[in-house]
Amino acid sequence: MIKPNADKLRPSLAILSVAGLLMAFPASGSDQVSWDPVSSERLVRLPATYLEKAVQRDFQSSPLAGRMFDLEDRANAMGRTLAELRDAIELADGEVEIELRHQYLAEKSAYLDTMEERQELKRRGLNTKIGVFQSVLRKLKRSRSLADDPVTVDLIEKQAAATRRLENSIEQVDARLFEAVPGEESRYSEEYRQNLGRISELQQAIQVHRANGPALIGGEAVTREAYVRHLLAQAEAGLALLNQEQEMLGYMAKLVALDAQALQYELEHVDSDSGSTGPDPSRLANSVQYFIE
Amino acid sequence: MLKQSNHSTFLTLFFLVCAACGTAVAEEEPRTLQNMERERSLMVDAMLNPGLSPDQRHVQLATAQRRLVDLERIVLRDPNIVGHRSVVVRRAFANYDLTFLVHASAENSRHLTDHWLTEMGISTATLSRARKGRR
Repeated sequence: MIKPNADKLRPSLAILSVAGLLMAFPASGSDQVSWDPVSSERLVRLPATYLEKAVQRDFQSSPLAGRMFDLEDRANAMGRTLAELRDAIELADGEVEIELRHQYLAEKSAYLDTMEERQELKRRGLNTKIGVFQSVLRKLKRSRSLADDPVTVDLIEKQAAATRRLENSIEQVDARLFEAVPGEESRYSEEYRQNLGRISELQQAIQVHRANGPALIGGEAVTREAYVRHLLAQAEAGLALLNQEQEMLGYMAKLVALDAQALQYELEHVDSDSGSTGPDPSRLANSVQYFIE
Repeated sequence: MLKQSNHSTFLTLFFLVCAACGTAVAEEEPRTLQNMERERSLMVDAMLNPGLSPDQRHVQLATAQRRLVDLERIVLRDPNIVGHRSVVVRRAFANYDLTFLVHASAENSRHLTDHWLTEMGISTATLSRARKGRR
């Protein structure tokens, strides 16, 4: 029977078990990546339906998302390797089986490290997204409170009245002015009149545009503020699920550590059980035969 | 000497903070309204300048009037001014006849100077009743 090379495997198994128990920190490659989100001033002006898409698109083009997607690809590849190793272990025996089991443990540990790093990046992304939505919500609330303020309401009414007075008297004013101060119509007046018709057409097109519809939650039309609160709740739920996945990763790491310890124990017992078939020469009685001649 | 340097440091910081606050407030004023009010003040200056001859005054007022009519319309159509709560904007829209001089005077079929004087409460009767003395 071929003795498996336990001496070679034992130190690496010990390291593996300790590392698995301590749940090693993610690799430092993710420390530098970040996501600087788009300004909430711009997001506030978007239709509610496009707000989430704009944030998502901005996130996907960030270095943080790029690193996250790389880690996801790596984890998928590792998952396939784990499946192959598990199938190979079932078919192997002896030293090959031991070696495969060792590789299986190492691959599982590396998979957990990758997932841990990915979770950390996902957490950072979600926290940033929550910050963006909170900022948008604050701005919407501030605009609403300003709009409801009596000083602002009074000012807007006066401004609207002044605009109506201008539009009602503009022809009369032009007639008197050109009578008093003869001359050509100014470029501003001429071009303003030409653009006015086109502006009206554009405004009508915006009214009927499909992207300008109200935000919907469960088929019900909601205000922009309610929709942003809905997006915020979704992001918070994602963060809560991430905490649960973190717990799962902890248990998986513990299992890897226990598997490593079990394999190590197995190898040590094989070592001690294998060897000479004859009497133990360290026992004195067994050595008497060498002294009786 | 130490006391003096602390005092001067405090004063310097105080003025810097005041200047920063002033700058912040000034930067909030809509540019269109600032331009219109600058042009209007130059026109009023031309109205009241005793050093101008009648012909000179007429030419300056006519030029200012043509320029001001567009500026008033730009202000009234500026979407950035709607709901802008600054003191200057609120004061501007509190009195249309005094702010938008050219349009208001044309509406009321008055000469620009007559209109402004009327809105300011200055007439022949008030001038003849005026007395010199302490307020």
